[in-house]
Amino acid sequence: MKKLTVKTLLIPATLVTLASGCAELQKPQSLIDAAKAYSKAASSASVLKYATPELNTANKTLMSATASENKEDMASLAYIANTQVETAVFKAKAQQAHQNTKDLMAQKEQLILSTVDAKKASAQQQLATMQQRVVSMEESKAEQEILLAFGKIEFITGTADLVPGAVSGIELLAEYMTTHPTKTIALSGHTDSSGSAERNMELSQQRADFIRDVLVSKGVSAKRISAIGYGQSQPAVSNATRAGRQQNRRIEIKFAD
Amino acid sequence: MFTKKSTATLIKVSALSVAVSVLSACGIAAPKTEIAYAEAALQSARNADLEGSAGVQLKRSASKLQKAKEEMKDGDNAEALRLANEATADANLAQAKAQAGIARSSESDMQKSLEMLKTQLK
Repeated sequence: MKKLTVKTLLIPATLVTLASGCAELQKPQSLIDAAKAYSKAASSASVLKYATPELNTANKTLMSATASENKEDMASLAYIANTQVETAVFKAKAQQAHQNTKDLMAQKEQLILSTVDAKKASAQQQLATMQQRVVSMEESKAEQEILLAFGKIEFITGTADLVPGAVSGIELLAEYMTTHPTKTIALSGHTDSSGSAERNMELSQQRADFIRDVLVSKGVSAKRISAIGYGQSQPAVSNATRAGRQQNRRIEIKFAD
Repeated sequence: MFTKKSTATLIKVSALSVAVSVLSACGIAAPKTEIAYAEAALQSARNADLEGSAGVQLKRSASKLQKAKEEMKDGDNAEALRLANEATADANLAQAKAQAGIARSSESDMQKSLEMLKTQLK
């Protein structure tokens, strides 16, 4: 009877001892180390950015390890937690490397694009330069033709009237001024030395004005034309011969942009 | 109704049943699922380790998986479960390490290719 009582009391006592023994398990070094590794990883910006789920898994395992009721489970869970922390660190490294690779790829693309753009711009510049050169050549050719035509213009001596048939130069000039709206011209009238200098000054002005008026009548803005008479003051050649005097009765044109 | 003897027996039986239930709570089923899981994780990690940088972790995982199977066979399901879970963790680490190595190689290749391009464009 007495024996039986002792036996019956012993069973729950053993259970309680077992339970209290479980609750007060000493933490093994591996668990302390795993917790330290976790704290270190959790303070890394890269791990937090790229491996938070893995870090959370490790944290859960750490908590399970701490709450373990036997030392085998605790040691095993501590090992797993530590391994999961390492896994999180490698995961973060991989993600970081992926991001770096992407950034490098973008840099490369940018470099290629900017190089292509630079080449394109350079080619366009070259093309523009060549086009400008062609335009200049065409203009200079047209201007030469006009000057040549103007060289043939003859005024009736003592008047501002043209010798009939000498209008082609003015036609050319008017057309040129219309197709090149940025051009301006300076017309200068000259005479030979026949007659008085005063009269010649007047006459040369009239001749220059005459040309300007024709151009204006053909739609060229007067603002683009200056007309000045120089009389006999600037002979191109000697006035001694008839041919020389004819050459001196002239309208000179200077083109400007 | 109750004799002293029958009461004592009742107490004994109930105490025993409590003890059994506590023990059976500790005793666990064979960790077949966990072992299968570890096996899959290990296979996946092996496939990922193209550069052979995670050999140590792969070996550790394989050895624990093998031991887990043996323990399960011997009836120590608790130890088999622990080993299977550790083998899975080792395999996951191996995979992460392998992938980090590969990613780092790609980054390094891209860096080289960028430098080469820069040199060519100079």
